[in-house]
Amino acid sequence: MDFRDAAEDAAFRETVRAWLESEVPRLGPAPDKLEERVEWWRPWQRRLYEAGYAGLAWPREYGGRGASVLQQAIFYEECDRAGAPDRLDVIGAGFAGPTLIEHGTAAQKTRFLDRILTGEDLWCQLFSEPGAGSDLAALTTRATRDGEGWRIEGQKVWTSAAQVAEYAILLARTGEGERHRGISFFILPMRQPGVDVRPLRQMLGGAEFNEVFLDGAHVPGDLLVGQLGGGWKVAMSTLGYERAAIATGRVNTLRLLDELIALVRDARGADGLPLGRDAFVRQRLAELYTRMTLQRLTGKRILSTLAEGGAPGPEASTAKLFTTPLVEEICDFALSVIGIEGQEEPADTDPARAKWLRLAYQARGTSIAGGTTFIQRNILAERVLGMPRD
Amino acid sequence: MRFAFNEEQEMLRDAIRVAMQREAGLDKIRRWVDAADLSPFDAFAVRNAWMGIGVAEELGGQGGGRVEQALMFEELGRAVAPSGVLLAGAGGVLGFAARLPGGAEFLREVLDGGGGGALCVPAGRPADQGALQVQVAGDRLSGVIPMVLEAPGASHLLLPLPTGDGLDLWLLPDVKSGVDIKPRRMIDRTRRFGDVRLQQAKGIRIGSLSGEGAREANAVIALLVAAESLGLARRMLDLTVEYVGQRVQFGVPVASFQAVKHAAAEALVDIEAAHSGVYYAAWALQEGQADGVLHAWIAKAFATEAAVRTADRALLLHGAIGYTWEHDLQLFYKRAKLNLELFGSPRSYRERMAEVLALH
Ligand SMILES: Cc1cc2nc3c(=O)[nH]c(=O)nc-3n(C[C@H](O)[C@H](O)[C@H](O)COP(=O)(O)OP(=O)(O)OC[C@H]3O[C@@H](n4cnc5c(N)ncnc54)[C@H](O)[C@@H]3O)c2cc1C
Repeated sequence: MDFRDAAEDAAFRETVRAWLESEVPRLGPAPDKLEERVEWWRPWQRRLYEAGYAGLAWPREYGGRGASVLQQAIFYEECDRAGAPDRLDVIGAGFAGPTLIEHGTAAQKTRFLDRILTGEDLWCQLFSEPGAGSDLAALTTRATRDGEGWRIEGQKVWTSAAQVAEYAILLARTGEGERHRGISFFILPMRQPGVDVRPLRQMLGGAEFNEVFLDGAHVPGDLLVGQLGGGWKVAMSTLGYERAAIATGRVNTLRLLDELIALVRDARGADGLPLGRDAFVRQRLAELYTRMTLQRLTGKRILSTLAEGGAPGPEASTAKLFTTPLVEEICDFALSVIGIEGQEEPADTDPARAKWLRLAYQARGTSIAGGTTFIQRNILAERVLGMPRD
Repeated sequence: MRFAFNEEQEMLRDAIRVAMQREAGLDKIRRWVDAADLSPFDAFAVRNAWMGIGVAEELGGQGGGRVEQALMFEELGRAVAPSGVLLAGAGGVLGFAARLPGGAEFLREVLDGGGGGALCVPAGRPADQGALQVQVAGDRLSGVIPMVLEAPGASHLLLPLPTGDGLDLWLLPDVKSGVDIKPRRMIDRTRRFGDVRLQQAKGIRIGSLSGEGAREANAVIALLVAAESLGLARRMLDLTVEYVGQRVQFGVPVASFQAVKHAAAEALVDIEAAHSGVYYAAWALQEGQADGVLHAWIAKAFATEAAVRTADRALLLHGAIGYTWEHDLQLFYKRAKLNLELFGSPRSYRERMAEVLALH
């Protein structure tokens, strides 16, 4: 047991810190609208790529740096410290890419992976359907042979970032086989006539996810990933990467809590007394601080297992379930300190306030996306604790 | 960065687990409790030299540090061992005395003598607050210290008295004269407590600790209670998963009901978080990291509460059988509740955290 950086990691940290100090451009706040935010983010991603900081833990042959997962974590820590922009390529770099590295053909890897890291291509995930949410294997979108390739018919829903994505990872039924067996995993080029993306407005008013209608969309023959009819297995590894990306995601709870503390320090209660002297407030804040600390330590624990070449154990499965309510509660507490002004339309209010509201809502999305809290508990109970299926 | 235990640490853990299973199983613990005599466990712990785990070999200990001690206490918790004597001795008396210049001698004496010492502080508060309301006249001490862990039967007492910023440590070498100990019965019968009344008892002032030294010493006790609670929680979850897998209702094992699975899964989420906190704190204290004390508070506040939540989930999931005296769960349940208060409630540590976070 030793939590210090090893010598080469400490050196890496120094290098990264120096680089970020000079590079984190004065980008100003990210634009609200996704389309604008993408254009704002792209030049930064390009800089990261050129400096060798994109795809840190990806193999060199695919444009990565071949660094250790620890160095990748160090890099993100330093990005947070330096206030670097959040990543917009979560689907591509976080889980579509790793899935291709694991299951893709050599040609697919050459063609797609590098462009994910440069920020040229954004990706989306066409898994969920109106009738297939938690029960993903109930999907009905169909892929039929069409010359060398496939013709796709069906409807997807809740597709994040479809409006800005160049490519999608797609699950479709190719066989008559029951449930899991007849499903195949494809790469779908999004910019084509048979793909119709219709934005869905979210609770907070923005439109970051979409319905996607697939009406005769074409998938070329070389864009099947894995075996024909073997898509479920590929999808399972994607979901694994997705959960890891969510669990180790970029919500920096340390920074959030620092900001919450600053907020409390300046606030007064209805009685005019400093809120920071209120016993209930102190207890609640210390409790959130406690959980934030443990959430971060668990993150380190997962990394340290990965770094030693092991598969993370129960700590990884519990991470999403521990993190999501924590972020919700930190934000809710901040909103309760702000009071009714915290409920003001984000676009009309002070950005520092609006942030809490946005994040509070985003966290609710996180408790649903990538397998709901209930589904995660089923997974823990069945796969980690060995309890029977229902 | 490395979070995993090394091979020696794993061997230590396994050795303690096996020894507990073989010689201090739940049937034996029940027998000792029924006879109101825990001394067979004390003797067993001494035979195994567990008092010396986490104490340097030069000082007559077994070597290792806080991580090893935490591992030991997690195992003791898993077995709901009558661990009070180890907590009061290894965590309390040795932990405080080891910080003194002359403490090494004292340590050796305690270790050689089997270590039946108690830290003479009210066990419901952080130990670095020391014993209040004790009058000192020359080398004579008078006053009452309520609820002292393992006072009944202690061969000597180490009495920390608050100074301006820190503690004076007094040794009461003779608990026969001027010292009256009135046992208190607790709902958890595997721990001994007593009120200590001093009437002109002779003491030797063996040194003093700075406020920081006192907080560090207390952090170790807090950590060990947290580690023990982690072990309690793990075992309660194991017992529960096993039971619900066998108990059939509505024609199926109750473990197949989602409400049951979700309660178990939530317990696991709690336990894994507690694990991260306990072992980071252990490492940080061992290495003298600046954040060690704070992390011990975090571990204490969270792990003891997590164990209590696990206890209540486990009880509910066992149904009425878990509510009986005959079922082992009660032993773990009561210890979890006691540990919540032992050497400082979560509330008291959260208040300290709030102070550190400088909220006003
Ligand atoms: C912000 C956001 C972004 C998303 N982005 C994408 C995306 O990019 N691509 C994509 O493919 N999908 C995406 N999704 C969809 C997401 O994967 C699904 O919403 C999720 O899997 C749940 O499915 P559902 O919404 O149909 O809920 P349902 O499956 O209908 O569930 C309804 C309720 O029933 C519960 N439930 C269902 N089955 C069980 C069970 N067996 N046991 C216990 N409870 C159960 C659920 O927990 C939930 O509480 C996104 C969702 C959100 C919120």
